Amino acid sequence: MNGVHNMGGLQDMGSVHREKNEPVFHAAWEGRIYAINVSLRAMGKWDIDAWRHQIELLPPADYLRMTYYVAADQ
Amino acid sequence: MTLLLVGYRLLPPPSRQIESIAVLPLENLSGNPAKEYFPDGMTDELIGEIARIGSLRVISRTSNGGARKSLPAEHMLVESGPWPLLGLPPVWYKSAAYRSRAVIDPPGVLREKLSEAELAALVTRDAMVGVTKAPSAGEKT
Repeated sequence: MNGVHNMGGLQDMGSVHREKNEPVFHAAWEGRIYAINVSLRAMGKWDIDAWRHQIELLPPADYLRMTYYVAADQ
Repeated sequence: MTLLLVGYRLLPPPSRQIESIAVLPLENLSGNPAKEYFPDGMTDELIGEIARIGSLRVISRTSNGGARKSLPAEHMLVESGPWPLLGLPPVWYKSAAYRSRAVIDPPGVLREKLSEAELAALVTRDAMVGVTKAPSAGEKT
């Protein structure tokens, strides 16, 4: 699927911002979500193809503002 | 590290079929012997993941243990293979700014942090083929 996630080569996205001393998780709940994700994959309930498909179903404007973790109320 | 990744992603796929592979042990560069478990665990994780590829024969750890070359663990940090050990890459790696420009303007992305002369000083043959740590540079902030 050639959606907004396929952004290689686009221009005018601004400069790359690097967070100094970035933690692996920015909040404790991110670690829990990550562990759930890894566990579901290990149990065979979820795989990387299903994951990618769900990512590609996100509305483009939402996809662009999201990082790895987004709280549901944001 | 960014330099290595961009270079890696632009390489064309190998034209010859690879049938067997040896995973060199990752090296503990922290200077702290108590952290030995980390590169050891990553090496095991890599061997385990690659061994799941049916068409590829992985040479066992004991039989490649004689090789003295090893890879600095830091070289593996951003790629997605060892997620279960390391978590996700830094946020900038997913950002639209990085992903769009790393393709159309990789030198520009690199020069945001380091000058051309500083970048050139980081390039050594051994670091580019991944058998030694790249020289470090004071980063601009």
